[in-house]
Amino acid sequence: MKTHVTTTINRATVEFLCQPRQSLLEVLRDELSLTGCKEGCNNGNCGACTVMLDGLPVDSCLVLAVEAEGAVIETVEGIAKQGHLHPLQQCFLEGAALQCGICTPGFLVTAKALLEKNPQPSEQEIRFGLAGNLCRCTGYDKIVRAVQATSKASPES
Amino acid sequence: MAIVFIPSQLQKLTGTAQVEVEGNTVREVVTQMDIQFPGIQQRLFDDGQLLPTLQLSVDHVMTRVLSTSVKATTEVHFLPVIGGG
Amino acid sequence: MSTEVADNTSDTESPATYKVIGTRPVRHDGADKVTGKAVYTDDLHVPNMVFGAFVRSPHAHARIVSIDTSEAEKMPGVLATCTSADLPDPWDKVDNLGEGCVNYAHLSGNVLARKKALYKGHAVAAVAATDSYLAQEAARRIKVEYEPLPATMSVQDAMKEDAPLLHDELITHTLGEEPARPSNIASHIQFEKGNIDEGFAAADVVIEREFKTATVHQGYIEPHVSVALWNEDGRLKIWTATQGSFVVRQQMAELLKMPVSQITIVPCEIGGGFGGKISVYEQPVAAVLSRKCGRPVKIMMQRDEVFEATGPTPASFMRVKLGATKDGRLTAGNAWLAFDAGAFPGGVIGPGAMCVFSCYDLPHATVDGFDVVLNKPKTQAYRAPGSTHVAFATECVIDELAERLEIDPIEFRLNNAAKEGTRRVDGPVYPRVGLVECLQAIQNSDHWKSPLTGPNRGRGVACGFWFNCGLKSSVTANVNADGTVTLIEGSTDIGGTRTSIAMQLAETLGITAEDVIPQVVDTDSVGFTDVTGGSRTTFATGLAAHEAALDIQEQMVEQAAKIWECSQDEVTVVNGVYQGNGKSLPFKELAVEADKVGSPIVGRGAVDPQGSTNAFAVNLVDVEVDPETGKVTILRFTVCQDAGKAIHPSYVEGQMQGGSAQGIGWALNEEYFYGDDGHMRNASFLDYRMPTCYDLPMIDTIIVEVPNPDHPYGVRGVGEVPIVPPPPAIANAIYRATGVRFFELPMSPPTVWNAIKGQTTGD
Repeated sequence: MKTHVTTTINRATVEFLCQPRQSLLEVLRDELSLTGCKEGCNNGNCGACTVMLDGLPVDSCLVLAVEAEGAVIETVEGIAKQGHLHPLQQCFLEGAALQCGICTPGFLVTAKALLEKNPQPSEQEIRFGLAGNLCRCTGYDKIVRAVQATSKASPES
Repeated sequence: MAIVFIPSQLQKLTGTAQVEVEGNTVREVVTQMDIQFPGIQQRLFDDGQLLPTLQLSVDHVMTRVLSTSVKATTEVHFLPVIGGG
Repeated sequence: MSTEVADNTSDTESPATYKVIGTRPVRHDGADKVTGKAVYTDDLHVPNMVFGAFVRSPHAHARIVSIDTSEAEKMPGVLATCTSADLPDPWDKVDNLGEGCVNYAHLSGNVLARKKALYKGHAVAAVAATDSYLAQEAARRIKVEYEPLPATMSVQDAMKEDAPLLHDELITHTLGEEPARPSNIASHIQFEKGNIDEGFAAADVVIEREFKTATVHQGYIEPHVSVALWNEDGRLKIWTATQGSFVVRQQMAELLKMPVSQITIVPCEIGGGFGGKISVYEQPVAAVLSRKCGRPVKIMMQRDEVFEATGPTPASFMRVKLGATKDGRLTAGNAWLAFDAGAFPGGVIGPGAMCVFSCYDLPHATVDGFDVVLNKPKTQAYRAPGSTHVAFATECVIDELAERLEIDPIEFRLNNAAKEGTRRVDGPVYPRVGLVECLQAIQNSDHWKSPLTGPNRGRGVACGFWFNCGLKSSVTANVNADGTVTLIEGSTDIGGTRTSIAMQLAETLGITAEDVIPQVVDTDSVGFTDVTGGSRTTFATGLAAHEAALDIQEQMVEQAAKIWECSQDEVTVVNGVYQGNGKSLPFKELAVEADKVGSPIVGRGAVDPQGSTNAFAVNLVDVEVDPETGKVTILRFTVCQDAGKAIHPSYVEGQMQGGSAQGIGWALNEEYFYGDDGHMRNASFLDYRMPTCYDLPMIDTIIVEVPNPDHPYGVRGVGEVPIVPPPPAIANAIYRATGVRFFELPMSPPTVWNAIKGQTTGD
């Protein structure tokens, strides 16, 4: 028995069928080929699967796909627009804020949400805002700096 | 000729911590050493090759290459292999 | 500014000026990785693919009486099952994988348990089905009958005379006489230097301490995952997350008893490894299931499986004794080290024993190291394997000695620091190394010069060493019609090595980093390349790229001579500009011309550099301890490291910062909690507490550059050593904050709180 779900994903209307037990992460990755969000733990601890759901960053492994009916979703694939990287993506690259890259999509989604809510966060606010995303490679230093650099370069400042 | 540093657990066979042994390569040195101290090679080698758990330090460079050439001042050490992360 | 580069090029060596090396270009795979396009193994959906799941032992130690797969096999959609009976009989062959060695009988028995399950989570059987839920359901229907046996969970218990044996025939391996009776002690390593009795007799102060560290995991965010396709023609293809595709191929060939030429390993992007993604786990099982069902099989581990059934790094029990004279000279050292190997022999005791005194010039010493099997998962390397354990012991005793002698802790270390000519306890003599320079750079840092004030605060220092290795690497470099160069390599890129390798090719050829297009390819498409590990990739594969560039340059000179109608001797190359017969062209323009006239230009590089490149790191850390909770906050952290030459400084800093963060986690929080039943109680990222962003400060880096004489650009390798000094540096800082010395990792809030409470109540 599958349920029909209609959502908006990365600014386009998307319909899919899913089993009630499937998580949003599974559907995004396995049914819709949006493999940018990653499975690191499948129980909401690592943040690698973070997507925006109705304006809030969520661990998509903890959301049932059927709950996405009518929702507006943005994944890491939707961050770059018209062939141009978002300033945050650019700052991650210039600041070497990634090593293996598996956690990077989750960090980008979370950090973008943070900056949209608080364009000029302090270092502590950035650290608090990103605390739900685990990175094992970088020690977070360059990730925090990349978010700071994005914030400094943004037109709001 | 080389100076072989005998692993402490094998010093019962040699009676000393270091021995000077004839040979132009590590393999020749080990062969010669086994003539001087019978049985020592079988503790370090298996089927003609260095035990996989061992590596050499030849002139302070770690290697497993038995054809590495040696000279009179060359030091040969037998060490555990190292895994990396 | 967080980063300083302390240039320690000696007066005799003029600092080289580079155009590409030392700059910070955007990594070549960057756009893929910030847009979600990079393909990791779990992102693959191979046509007609099915899914595998494991059956794992619920017991820490049990005899397997029977396995009944019949009920699972009857389920619609279940395509194949697999037990150890489906793997060829293993041979008792020990092989060198470049990075350490492996016994294939043990490896096979770890992949799927044979007669006994040796740890909770040990794989016993597996099943493939058309979807992953069905596979998990089918796995639950495989009936395994066990006869539970007593489990042994600590090295101290496992070493007792009457301890239950894991392997009935395990005789302690030593180079000397071997015991007659089997035990859980897999090997005993020993080093001796000088005369320890004389050494301690000459000491004015002798301190001996006992240390314990807990089992910790590498904690990569990507779980182990593979897709295997065993074709009808007998060829096996595996897409996998691995640090070394060729080493996976070698292990697969031995375990499945097939020639390497029948196997192709495709390394996908890899989500972290740190030593934990070298051994195979799910790959042979996915392969056998694929052979049995004729379809590609994907197996991805869940996080609890990663914790319970892959290779963490050992817990340890150590005694270290050091003596020094009043004027601050170390006279003697003695170390007794027992590391937990996990369920099969072959832990990281070798390098641990070699590293315990490797930072110091110690005239007299003995080291005894024991590799001990017990009922935990088979341990594996984790970034500078073994060195972090022993540095915790040695550096804490060094700190205590300095305090007792009333000598500044950095001065005391400088007095005794290993340098060129120092003979290590395990025998070899160091070439030029950079520990002294690192200690001096810390002394000169703003951090050291800024006093730390306030209650419950303290500052600590510690050093660390790791060998780094060379090993085999191959590259091919194809010059394109537009003068760019495609660089084909076998080193999986875990932290930006496409770029650090490409930069060396670019520097040698006189082109930009962006003019190089690096590609990591499968095992059929490039020459043998050892693992991305051992801090070797930028060093050794970079060396191969340099060699390929020289090969290209030689061919370019030939072509230039043809184009300019002169002899090859008349063609000169300076900084990538070719000149001859009065004409001159830079590499790219000459390559465009050469493409029109001659045979394609293809460079090759194949290297096997011997030896270690010897990395040292020093940490300076300020902490604040909350006396109410025992929580330790890192206020300021500086890591200084000798990189030889930093090819891409940002990624060198990244290695230093990431390694430091892992060391901080090891020091303060991370541990496997085991119940009396041998079950890990915290097999999730919530309960296995790795540092988050909110737990850490910025990590300041000081890159010291004492060039490695055995590399054209002086590279030493940087990845591993930064994990080594944080635990003792933090322990020493906590001591200064609280007056309590800690001898056990992790120094988690309850441990610290109890110790402070014990001190104030006089317990």
